[in-house]
Amino acid sequence: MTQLRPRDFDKIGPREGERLPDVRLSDQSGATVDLHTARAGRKALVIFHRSAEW
Amino acid sequence: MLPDLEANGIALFAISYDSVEILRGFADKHDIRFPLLSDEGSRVIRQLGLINERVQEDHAVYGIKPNPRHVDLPYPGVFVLDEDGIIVHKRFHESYRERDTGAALIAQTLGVVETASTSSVGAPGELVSVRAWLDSSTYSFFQRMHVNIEIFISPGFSFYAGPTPGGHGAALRPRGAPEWCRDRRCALGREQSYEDGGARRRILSARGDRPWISAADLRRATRRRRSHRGARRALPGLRSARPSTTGLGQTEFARTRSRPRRPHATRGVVQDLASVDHA
Repeated sequence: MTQLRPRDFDKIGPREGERLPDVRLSDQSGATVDLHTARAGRKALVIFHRSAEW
Repeated sequence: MLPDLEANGIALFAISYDSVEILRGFADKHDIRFPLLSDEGSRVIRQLGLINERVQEDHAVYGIKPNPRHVDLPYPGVFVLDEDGIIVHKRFHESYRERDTGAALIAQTLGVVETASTSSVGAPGELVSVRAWLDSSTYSFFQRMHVNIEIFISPGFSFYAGPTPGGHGAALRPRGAPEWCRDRRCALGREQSYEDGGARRRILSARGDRPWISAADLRRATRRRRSHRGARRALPGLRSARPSTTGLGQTEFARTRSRPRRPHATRGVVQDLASVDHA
């Protein structure tokens, strides 16, 4: 196989038009961040990425 | 990228399965000031349904060796949220190896296109100018780079790939045209021909030594259209040209040369002659 099998990303994860579910995680300083609270009414980009380590 | 986002009132969050310690080291090293969120164990990633269950299969495509750390990876991508937290756009890739440039992310998700950050090439012109530039000055392997192309056509002009639509004449302001030919009152480059309902029509031609015809000349020629000689006087660049007027106020010059010239490709500015030259 020389090509990645294409995925239908419309069906993977939350869909457009839905509200992103609440996300509460620690940031790099160890502080807990509630994403929607931290947005403070702003638009946002939420990036999912691979490890920062490798 | 971050200043661009902040300037547009947009928050930025990044989520990975790294520990807080790893993220702290990464943030320090790269001077990152926005939240890097630690989803150790990929709990949130799993809840959101973003786990790539076929990482090993994807790795084989890229020739990446199996790695015990490469489990519970999310598909890489981005959600764009509006002020209410609604997902207005999402863009994900099959593999973490593929990713957009930061500038492309901004352009695609927010409609903000960076215009000047990278070198560009262009063909400036008074009627049409074209400029192309890459969206990033750096490139990483597997990144999806984008090319922006900007085409500017001066107001009042239209372009056609040919054939020229009926009722339209051809070609103003050829390269190197004289000063008086600055605007649309100057008409016509070389002979052009086009198909019109199966018939091949030629429109005004001028010889190489006089490739421009002023609107005044053209008007004069049109008034004297009964007189072949008049036309020649008015348009000395035209040899054996017999101007005639067709139904739509379009000026057409039927050449009487016995050997038809090879038509030039229709290329250039095309404009409604009636609105230009018969005013």
